Amino acid sequence: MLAISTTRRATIGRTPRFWGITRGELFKISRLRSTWIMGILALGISILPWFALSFIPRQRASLVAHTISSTLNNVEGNLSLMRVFLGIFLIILAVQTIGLDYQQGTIRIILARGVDRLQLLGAKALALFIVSVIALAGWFLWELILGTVTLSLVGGGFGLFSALNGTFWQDTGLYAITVVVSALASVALAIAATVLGRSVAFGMAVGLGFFPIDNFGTLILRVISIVTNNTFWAQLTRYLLGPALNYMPIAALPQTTHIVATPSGPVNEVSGAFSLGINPLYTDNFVHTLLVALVYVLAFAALAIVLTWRRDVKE
Amino acid sequence: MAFPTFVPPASTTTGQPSAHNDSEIVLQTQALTKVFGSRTAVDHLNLAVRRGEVFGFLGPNGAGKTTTIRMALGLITPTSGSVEILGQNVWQQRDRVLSQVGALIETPALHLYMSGRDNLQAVASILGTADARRIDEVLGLVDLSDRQRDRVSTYSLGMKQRLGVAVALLDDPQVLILDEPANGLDPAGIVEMRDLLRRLATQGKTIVISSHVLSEVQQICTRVAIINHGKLVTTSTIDDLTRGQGYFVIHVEDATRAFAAIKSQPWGREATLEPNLTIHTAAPDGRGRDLVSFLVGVGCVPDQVAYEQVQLEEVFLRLTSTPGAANGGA
Repeated sequence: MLAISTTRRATIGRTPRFWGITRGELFKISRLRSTWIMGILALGISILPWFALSFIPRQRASLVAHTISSTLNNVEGNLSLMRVFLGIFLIILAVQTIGLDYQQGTIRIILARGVDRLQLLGAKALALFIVSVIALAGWFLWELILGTVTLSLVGGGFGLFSALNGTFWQDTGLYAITVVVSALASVALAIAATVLGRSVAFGMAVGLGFFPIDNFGTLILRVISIVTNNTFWAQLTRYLLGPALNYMPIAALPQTTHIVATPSGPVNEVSGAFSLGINPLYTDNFVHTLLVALVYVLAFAALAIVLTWRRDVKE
Repeated sequence: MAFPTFVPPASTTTGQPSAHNDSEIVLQTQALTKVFGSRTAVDHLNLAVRRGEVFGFLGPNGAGKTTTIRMALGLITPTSGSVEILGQNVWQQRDRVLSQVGALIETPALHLYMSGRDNLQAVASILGTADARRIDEVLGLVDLSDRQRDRVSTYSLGMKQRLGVAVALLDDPQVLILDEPANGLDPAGIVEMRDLLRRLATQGKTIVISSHVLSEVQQICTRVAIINHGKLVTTSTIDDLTRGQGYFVIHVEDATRAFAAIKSQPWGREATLEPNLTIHTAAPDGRGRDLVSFLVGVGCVPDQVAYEQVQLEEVFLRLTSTPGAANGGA
C-alpha cells in the first residue's frame, strides 16, 4: 500500500550547494568498487620493494652499510611506481566520476534539479582532488610505516631510521611534489577526455592511452629527427607531457651517489633520481617541466570547461 | 471509417488558460523554439500548466516532447522563447526554480553499481536534503523498502522506474515532470503508479506526464497538450477532446436499406456499413433519439443503437496524422 507524506518539508526551496554536490560526488566515489580494489592493490604492491630490502641478503647488507642512499633508492623507486600507478588509478577514477553520469544518464537528473553544469564539473574536480590528496597522503603514510618497519627490522631498532638526514627528507619531499603534479595532470587529462567523449569508454581509451602514446611519440620523433637530420623533431619532445612528467623528478632532485647492488657487491654511482618512463630527447630544468605540465593542465581544464558550458545535455 | 472530422476545441487551442479558469499557472512556455541545424524540433510552443493539474503532454515519436521537457529542465538551451516555472524564468533563476521540480526523463537514470538507497542518498546529498527518514518515506512510497540495499543492476525495469520516481519525489517538489512513467511497469505497477500520481495531485502537486500509453493518460490527466512536428496541435481537457467525437452503432434487420437512407442525409454522408452489417454513423445534430426517429420514419426500426465514445487514442491519431493539423497553438 502506498502512503504519501502530507507534511510540507523543511527542505523545500533549498538550492543545491557546491559542498553538498561535492559530498554527493565523494559518496558516489566511495561506492565504486574499483576505488577500493585499486587502493588495496596499491598498498599490496608497495610492500614488495620493502620486503626485498628486508629479506634479500645483498640488499639488506647494502641498507646497513649505506642507509641513506639505499633508502633513497628504494623510496625513489616506490615513488616512481606510485606516480605511474596513482596516475592510472586517478585516470580510472576521474573517468568513472565524470563518465558514469553521462553514460547512465544521471547527469540529467542532477542538472534538472538546478545544479549548474560548471558547478557540477567543479564539484567533481574538487571531489577528485580530495580523493587524490587522501590517496597521496595515505600512500606516503604507508611508505613511512613500511620504511620504519623495514629499517627497524634490519637495524634491530630505530638506529638506521634516525640516520636519515635532512637532505634525505628534502629529496623525498621534492620527489613527492613531482608525484602530485603528475597526479593533477592525470586527473585533468581524464576529465577533459571524458567530457569530450561523454562516455566511460572514450575517457578510458584516451586517458589511459595518452601517456603510452606520447612516450612512444618520443621514440618516433627521435627516428624522424635522425632520418631528416633535423633536431627540430627531437626538440619537440621537450613539450610532450608524459616525457616531461617522467623527467620532472630527475630535474627536481640534485644528482646524488646511488648505491647499485651488483653481483660483486654494492657499487657507488653518481646519477639523478630514478624515474620510470621515457625522458625528453632534449632535457630542461625543473621549472620548464613544471611549465609544460601547467600548460597541459590549463588546456585540459579549458577544454572541459568550454565543452561543459556550451553543450546541451542530451544524455 | 472517416468520420467524424475532428475539430480541436477552439477555446483552448492557444495553450493559454481559458478565461473561466483563473488558477495559478506553474509552468508556462512562451514561443519556445529549438532549432538543431536545419531542423526545427520545437516551433514557437506556447503551453500553460496550472497548479494541481495532471497535464498530459502527447505527441508521436520525434514530435518534440522530450526536447521541450529538456528545455524546461534547463538541459537544452532554447533557440528562442522562454520557460517559466512557478513564475520564474528557468534560465535566469535556474537553481531556485529547478530545485522545486522533480523529474523522470525517459528511462530511469540511476547508478547501477549502487543500491537503491545509495542512489537516493547520493541525490539527497547533492540537493542538500540528506534526511534518512525522507529516504525511508519515498522508498516506502514506491514500494522498494525491501530491496533498498540491493544493487540497482539487479532491479527489474519496473523497479528502476519506481526508484526513478522516488528520486524525483525526494525533496517533495511542487512540480513533477515525468516522461513515460509507466514504462516497464506491469499491470499492477501501472495501477499503483496511477494511484500514486492521483494522490500526489490531490496534495496540490502539479504533474506533467509525457506518455505513449494514451489509455493511461486518459485515466489520469485532467488536460492534455498534443504536439506534432514541434508545433502545438491542441491543448484541451480530455472531455473537450472526446466530446461529440463518438459515433452510433446501429443493428437493424434491413441494414442495406437503412444505410442507403442514412447516406442520403447530410449528417449521414460519412456513414459506413461494416462487414458484420452494422452501420456506423453520426446522428442528426448529434442526438441519438433523432437518429432513432429517423430510422423508424423510414421503416427501419433498429434492434439496437449504441453510442461509441471515441478514445483519446483515436483523437490523437487523427490530430497527428492530419496534414496541417499542427497549427492550433503555434
